[in-house]
Amino acid sequence: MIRAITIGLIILFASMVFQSAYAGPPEDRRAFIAYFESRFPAIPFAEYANGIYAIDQDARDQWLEIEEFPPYEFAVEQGASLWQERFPDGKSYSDCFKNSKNGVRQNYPEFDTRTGEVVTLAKAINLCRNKHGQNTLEFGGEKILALSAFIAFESRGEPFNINVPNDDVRALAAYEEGKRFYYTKRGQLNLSCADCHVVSVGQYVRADHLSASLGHPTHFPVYRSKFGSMLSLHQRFAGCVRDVRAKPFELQSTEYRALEYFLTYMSNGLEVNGPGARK
Amino acid sequence: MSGNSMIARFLIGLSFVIHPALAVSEEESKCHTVQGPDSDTNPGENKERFEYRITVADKLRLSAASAGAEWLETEGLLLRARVEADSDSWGTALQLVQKACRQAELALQQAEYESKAWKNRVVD
Repeated sequence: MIRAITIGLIILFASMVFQSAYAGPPEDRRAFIAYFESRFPAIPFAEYANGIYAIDQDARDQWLEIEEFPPYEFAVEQGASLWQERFPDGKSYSDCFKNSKNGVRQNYPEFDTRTGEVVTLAKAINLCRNKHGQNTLEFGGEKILALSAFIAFESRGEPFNINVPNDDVRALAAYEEGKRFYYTKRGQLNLSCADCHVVSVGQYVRADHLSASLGHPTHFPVYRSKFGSMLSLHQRFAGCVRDVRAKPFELQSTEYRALEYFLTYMSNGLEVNGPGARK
Repeated sequence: MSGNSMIARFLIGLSFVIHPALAVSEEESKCHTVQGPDSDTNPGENKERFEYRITVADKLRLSAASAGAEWLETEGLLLRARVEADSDSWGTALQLVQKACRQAELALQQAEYESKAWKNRVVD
């Protein structure tokens, strides 16, 4: 009897260890959301799409005033014009982004099973251009940011729906790489993304409050008042890496695409609300 | 990690404080401590010393870079060191190389430590 109970307990313990050691994307996401819900029980899930404005009331009030005359409107207009352009072969972006009337932004980044790569929206834009005989746009450049802003604007309200196929080890590896990047301390200041955007959410860094990572990708690209221009999510990644005094990676590098894959999966269910306006 | 735990926050903060204590000691360092003052009377010896040390430092920097762990200012320090060496300002050049070399060493140690440590921070 005692032997049977002992064996049963060992099996139970082993299964718990196995489960925690091999928590997959759905388990990670559930734990991520539960963490923030327990930290900030008064904030509804949907509000996390608004970043720090879900937490900081003063900043939210200022943001709502800015949104009356959104500074990203010019980028959206430019993007709309670029979207209409015809490629040399007569095709356009809507030939690459099927069902674009139902929104596009919420589907990126996606894992391309043909190439085994994470494809972000910016990469997909350039792949579309190359496919139809057009030159590549510079990542972080005005045109690609304008197109991203337009696509995000047209996709507003659509819930993010990023897939990490559990039967593709390459997709899982890309997800895990992003997760590892997120939790790894780096730079001379020895900080990870999680140190600021999980542990220290709501605390001050210089004159700003730190936002939660839940919902981070939903509102990009953003208009940054600090620069007077649009900024992509990868440019923000590079800025954060630089701020902890580590050497930033290239925009659309494998590292940043994996990080975006992880972060956006964590934000599944939140609605596209880009482009955004930030300080 | 129980994110709301004061203990968890304390330990995370402590990891920043104790990190330097995990660093490679001066005795174990591949980056030789600068020996002696700037020697204008024997520029040949300084040049040889400088070239050896900047090679060591740059190799460590490239190793850190390949681990995805290069720090922000390391490469710039080496470039400044080269400028100082070209001006025969050997004392300053060697100090800059030493600083860059130690940064690269710490970055590599950080990468090695973090290759396992990150898993302990995953929200569960």
